Amino acid sequence: MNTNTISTRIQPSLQAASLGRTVTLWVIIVGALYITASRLTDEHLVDLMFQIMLAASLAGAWNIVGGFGGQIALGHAAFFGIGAYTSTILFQHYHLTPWIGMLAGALFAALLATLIGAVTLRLRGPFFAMTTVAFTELVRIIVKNWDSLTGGTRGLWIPWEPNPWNFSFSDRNSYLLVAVTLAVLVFSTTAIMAKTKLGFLLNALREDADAARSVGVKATRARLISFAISAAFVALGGTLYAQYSLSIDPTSVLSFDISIQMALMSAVGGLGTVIGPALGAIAAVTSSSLLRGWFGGELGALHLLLYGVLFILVMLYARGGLLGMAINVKKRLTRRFGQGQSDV
Amino acid sequence: MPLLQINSIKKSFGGLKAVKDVSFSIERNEIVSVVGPNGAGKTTLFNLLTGFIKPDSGEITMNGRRIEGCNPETVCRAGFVRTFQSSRVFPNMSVLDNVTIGALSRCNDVASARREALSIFDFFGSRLHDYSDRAAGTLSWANRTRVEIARALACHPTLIGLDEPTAGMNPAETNEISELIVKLRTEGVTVLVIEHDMSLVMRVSDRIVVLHHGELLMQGTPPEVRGNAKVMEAYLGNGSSSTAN
Repeated sequence: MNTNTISTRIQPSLQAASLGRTVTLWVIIVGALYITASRLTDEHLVDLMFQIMLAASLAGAWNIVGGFGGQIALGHAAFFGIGAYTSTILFQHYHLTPWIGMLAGALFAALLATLIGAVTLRLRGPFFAMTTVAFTELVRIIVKNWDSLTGGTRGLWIPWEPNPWNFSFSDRNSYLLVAVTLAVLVFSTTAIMAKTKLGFLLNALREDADAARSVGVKATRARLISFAISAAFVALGGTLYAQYSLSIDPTSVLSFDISIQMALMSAVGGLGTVIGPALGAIAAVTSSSLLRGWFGGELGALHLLLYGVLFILVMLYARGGLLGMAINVKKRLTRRFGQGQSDV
Repeated sequence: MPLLQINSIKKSFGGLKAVKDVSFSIERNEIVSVVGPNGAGKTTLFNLLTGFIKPDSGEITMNGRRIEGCNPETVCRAGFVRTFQSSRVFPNMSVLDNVTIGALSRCNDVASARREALSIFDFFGSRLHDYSDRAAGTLSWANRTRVEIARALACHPTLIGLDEPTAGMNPAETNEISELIVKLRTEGVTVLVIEHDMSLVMRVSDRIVVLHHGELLMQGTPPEVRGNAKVMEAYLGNGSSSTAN
C-alpha cells in the first residue's frame, strides 16, 4: 500500500521531466538538421544528406510495421513505387501538382495496404512476408504492362522546369529540405506512437499475439492502422524520389531490393526503437557512398557485400542493432566509472 | 441464470473428436475446476470457450450473451479473460507495461491505464510493486503467473480462466497461487481453473468437472469426485478396477 502511494506520486513527475528533456533534444536535432540542410553548399554532401534523409524516412516507416508490430513485411517497395507513379502520372496526364499527387499517392498506398493487410495480416511470420513479396511483384507486373499509363519498362520522365508549385527546384538544397521534413514527420510520428496506445498494443502483439488478444487487444485493427500509416509514409518517399531523380521505372522504384534495404537498415539500427532506423540509414548510406568513392565502378557490388557482412554481424552479436550496442556500452561505462546514478 | 452456460459443445480435428457434446455451467462467484488426464480435451475446451478455436456446433452463453465463435478480443470484452499454460507474459516489456496492456482494453490513454495497472498491483501485496520496472521475462515462474493474472484482472473480468496455473512450480509456490485463487473470489471474480494437479484442485474448488476422452465424465464437489470409481479408473487406467489382467 505504502509502495503504491510512493510510486504513483513519483512516476508522473519523473515522466514529465524525461519527456521535457526528450522534446528539447528533439527540437535541437530538428533545428540543426534544417540549418545544415539550407547552408550545405557542397553538391556531393547535399546529395549524400538527401539520400540519408530519404533512406531514414523509409526505414523509419518500415519500422512501424516490422519493428513495433514485428510483422516482417518485405513488400514495401510496392508502396514506394505507388507513391512515385501516382504523383508522376497525375502530373503528366492531368497537370496536377506533385504536392497534391504526393498526398494522393499516400492515400492510395494506405488504402491498398488496408485491403492487402485485411487478408495477409492474419498470416503469421514467413507466410505474411511471402504474400507481401508477391504483392510487390503483382504491382510491378501491372506497371510493366500498362504501357499507355506507366510507360512500361521504359518508365516515365519528369521534365526539369524549376517551379516550387510543381515540386521542382533549381537547387538541391530545397529538395533536401523536403527530405528533412519527411524524416521529421516520420520520426515524430514513431516517437509519439511509442508513448501512446497504438505503440503499446503493437509491442504486445509482437511479443505474444495470442496473449495480447486474450486481454482484449484488437489485433487486426491495430495492425491495419500501422500498416496504412507505414505505407503512406513510404509512398511520400516515393514521390520525393521521383521528383529528385527526374525519372522512374519499374527497376528503380519497384524492385525487391528496395524492400530488403528498408528492413535491413531498420534491423541494423535497432528494431522497434524510435531512432534506430535513422542510425541504420546513416550507416548504410555513408558506408556504401564511401566504398563507391574508394573503389569507383570497378568493384560495384562490394558495398553490398560489406553491407551484408555488417548485417550478419549485427544479427549475431548485437540483436538490438547499433542503438542497442550504444546503450550497452553506455551501461558498461556507467558501471565502471560508477556515477552513482543507475537508470536501468 | 448461470454466468457461463455451455450447451453440447463439439469440436473435432479431422477424424479426432477432441470435444464431444460437453455441457455444464458456472454460477457467479464459484470456483470451478476442469480436470482430466492428458488428452481428455481440457485445452481444446478452454480454447473453444475463449475464442481461440471455433466449435463445430453448440452454444456458449456468457452473461446472457452468445459468445461461441467470437474472437478472443470479443470474449475478453464480454468479461471472460484467460491466462495460458506456462505463463505467456510479454517477456521484453516491463511488469508495469504488461499489466498496462490489460488496462488499455478499457482505457484510451496510457497514463490512465498505468494508474489502473498500479492499482491492480495492490492485490498482490508488494510482489509486483517490487518488480514494476523489470522485464517480465526475467521473473520466476510464480511471479510470471502473477503478472499474467494481474494483466487479466486489469481487464476487469467477471470470469477469469486459469490454464494450469501451477505447472512447473514447487509446493510452496503452488500454495501461494492457490491462496491467490481463493482471494480472487473474495474480489468478486468467478474462477475457472484447468488443471491436472489434483491436490490444488481438491483444495480450492467448489465444484469439479471431470473430462475423459472429450466427454463429461462427471461433475460434483471435491469429495464426490474423489469417491467416484469412474474417475479413479480414468486417471489410473482400466487395470486398477478390473481383474482381467
